[in-house]
Amino acid sequence: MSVYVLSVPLSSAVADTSSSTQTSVTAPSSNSSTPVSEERIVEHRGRYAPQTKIRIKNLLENIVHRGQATVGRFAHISARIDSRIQKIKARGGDTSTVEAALAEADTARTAADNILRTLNDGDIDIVVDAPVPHDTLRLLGIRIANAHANLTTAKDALARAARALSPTTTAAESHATTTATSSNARSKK
Amino acid sequence: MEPETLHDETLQTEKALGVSEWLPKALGIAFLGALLIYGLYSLVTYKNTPPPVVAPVARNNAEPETPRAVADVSILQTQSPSDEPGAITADIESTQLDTFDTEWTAISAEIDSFETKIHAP
Repeated sequence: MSVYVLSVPLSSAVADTSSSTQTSVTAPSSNSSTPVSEERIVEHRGRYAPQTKIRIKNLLENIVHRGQATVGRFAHISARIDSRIQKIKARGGDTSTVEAALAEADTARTAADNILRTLNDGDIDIVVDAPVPHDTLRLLGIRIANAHANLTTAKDALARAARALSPTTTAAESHATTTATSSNARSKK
Repeated sequence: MEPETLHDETLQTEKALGVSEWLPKALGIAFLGALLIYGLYSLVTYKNTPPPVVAPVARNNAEPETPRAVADVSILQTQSPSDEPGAITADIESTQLDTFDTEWTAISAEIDSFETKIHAP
């Protein structure tokens, strides 16, 4: 099982990035031919940063909402599988495979939830205000990718649990049917 | 016989009058008691009721991508309550995880554009 944990906090990562790039604040490759003064960059930042921040915060919010809804969906599916497990156990069926897959799904889901809870507007302020926003954005991207990877792991584990649930159910139910048929036959005799 | 009958009728009338006096009072007290019990019950139920789950609606989020995101959240919040393996499998398989990409691509594009703007002469 691969659970992706929260990477380096953005604020500390930005401190490293800024120290290494402070001396060479350069334009993206398309504009690198014309040197731009620091004052001009500061002026442009002041003009464009507020709108950029609002848009990116909204987009990040959409990502977080989608992620949280997925976490909630998986939690509900987990509860449904658990309900099935209890029924199978009551009939004497073996649920160890399903339980192992479910535990894996729950761990990955919790890890994804923990990462999503840390994503907030402050991250976007840090990204946009960073000397090289794209480098800092990459760090935020790693966290989102980790949350996504955990959700994928959770989905795969839930699918395995559901697959394992089907034969278990069938076996337990057929066992229950056989037992009932045998006892009926005995009572008829 | 007649006076006795009259006397009985008078007694019955007096009884009836008595009933008409205490019955409204009793009904009033019963009503107030029921109202009190209902009020206390409502208070306890209100305290024990968890806050309703509200679908996340973005604050001042009027980005072109947002209606799709809200719809996706709504879809993700809809699923069968059944614990039948078939229903569970269907809900797992219908969970789309690649929807993060739309926003992430837009964020990257926005940052690219921002960097270009701030370094413009």
